[in-house]
Amino acid sequence: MRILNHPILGELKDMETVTIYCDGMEILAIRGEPIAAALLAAGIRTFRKTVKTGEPRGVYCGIGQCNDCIMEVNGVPNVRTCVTLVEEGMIIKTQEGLGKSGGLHD
Amino acid sequence: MDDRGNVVGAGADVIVIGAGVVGGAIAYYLSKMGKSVIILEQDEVASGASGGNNGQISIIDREPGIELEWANESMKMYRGYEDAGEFETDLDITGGLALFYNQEEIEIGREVVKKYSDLGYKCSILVGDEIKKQEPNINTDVVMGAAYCGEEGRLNPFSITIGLVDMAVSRGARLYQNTKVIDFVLEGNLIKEVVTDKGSFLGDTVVVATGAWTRELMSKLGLDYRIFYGRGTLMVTNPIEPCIKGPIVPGCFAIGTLYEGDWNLLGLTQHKNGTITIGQDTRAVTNYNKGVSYDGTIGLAKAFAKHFPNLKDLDVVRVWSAVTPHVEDSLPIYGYSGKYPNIFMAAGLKGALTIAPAAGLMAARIIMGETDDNLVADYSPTRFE
Ligand SMILES: Cc1cc2nc3c(=O)[nH]c(=O)nc-3n(C[C@H](O)[C@H](O)[C@H](O)COP(=O)(O)OP(=O)(O)OC[C@H]3O[C@@H](n4cnc5c(N)ncnc54)[C@H](O)[C@@H]3O)c2cc1C
Repeated sequence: MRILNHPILGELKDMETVTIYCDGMEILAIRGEPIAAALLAAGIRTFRKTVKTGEPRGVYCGIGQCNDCIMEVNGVPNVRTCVTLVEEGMIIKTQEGLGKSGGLHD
Repeated sequence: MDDRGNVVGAGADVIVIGAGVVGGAIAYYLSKMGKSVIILEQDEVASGASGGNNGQISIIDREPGIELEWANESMKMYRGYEDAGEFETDLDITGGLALFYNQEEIEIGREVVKKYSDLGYKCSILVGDEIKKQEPNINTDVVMGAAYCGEEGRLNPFSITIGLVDMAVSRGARLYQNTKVIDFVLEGNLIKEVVTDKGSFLGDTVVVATGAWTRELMSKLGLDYRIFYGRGTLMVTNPIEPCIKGPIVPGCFAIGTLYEGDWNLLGLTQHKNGTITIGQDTRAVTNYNKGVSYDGTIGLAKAFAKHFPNLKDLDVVRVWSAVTPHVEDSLPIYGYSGKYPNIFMAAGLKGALTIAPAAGLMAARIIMGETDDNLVADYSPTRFE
């Protein structure tokens, strides 16, 4: 799902793409878009699984407030994918339960 | 209720003012013992300090005596609520640390630790890398030593405060939220009516458990209880796997070198759900100002990153503040008023999450006439009357 022709913003053209990987799957994303937008465009709805019951969660507020869309990005847990922009070669993983602290430091 | 939705003349054996952990515990036990109870809360349950704190069980900042007994007893009572299926407490006795930053603090710490070891607590002084036995992720380059106490831990203040009030309500207590006590009507020197912005309530006994708001409320009766308040700012990270074992406080909490005024010192807790609350910036404020200290928050975030470099990239998701009282002589104001004999005060209990169940039970027993108040004579409100 991606709006290619917006009634006010007009047509989406001159887009530069970057390649990201989500759970091993290669995804073509548009430079400048948040990770969440790229995943939704690729049909991915589940970004993480909850701690207690393992239920699926994805985008909820979409503006960085609710922390529902957090994923592991390049080894760093708890990354809010709705406010983090895609970068070439990003490795993104579904976050299962609590984030692992190992990836927090450099 | 009248046609404007105001309550007129609702009555009970006991009126409890304030639905924090202290008022909640007293209401819980009174309801359990068969008293009819009305709880009046100006805002919502746990909207005061009881819903804005660090969730730590603290031991070595308490004087030996009734306060420590309350702390010990309360831990058993927390287990009891869980065993009875009443509510979750998330109580976990993990051991806790008070951090020292210079040799002088460590030396005073040694005396404190000896005092509690002699009483049978699992206490010791940890120096340098020994601190990592308790907290493997801590950066010992920035901390010189710590006082360890094995009986300290953490709990979930919301779950407990709401749980106590809910259980009181399930035993018949009536809870009025958004109902602020603004005055009292006297008959002789007894309180006859408790006047709120929603109408008047009648009760034989009035329990005042209003935390930081106590001095203002009691001034309506011409009293000047020496109870003041400060505003503590805390922040919380998003959840992460267990990285910090137990509660951490600044060393001056344990060695008693901190009393009043503004301060900004690192104290933190990782909770059962994985979030880490980080504090504490404390400022003198007026009008119960609930803003947060911007500079203070940045300072604490930096201090946290220095102490736990592994966790420096964690996101902080909320910052808030709560007002909490302190009494001029550091003792609670707890017991019957001398001037108004049907008022029972329960305010200014320091670190009340650690002691509220036992302090609440004792208050209920005193009100039921089952026990006298000799054990808590030092806390009597009459010292300010
Ligand atoms: C930042 C911070 C960190 C803390 N950390 C810890 C910790 O780690 N461990 C610990 O044990 N303690 C901690 N404390 C202290 C602890 O929160 C308090 O000791 C405890 O919550 C006090 O409970 P209380 O019921 O007396 O007060 P409160 O929870 O403040 O309850 C008083 C209630 O009375 C209501 N009220 C007041 N006036 C009126 C009125 N006129 N009419 C109707 N209702 C009224 C208020 O709205 C409020 O809900 C901390 C406090 C702060 C601020």
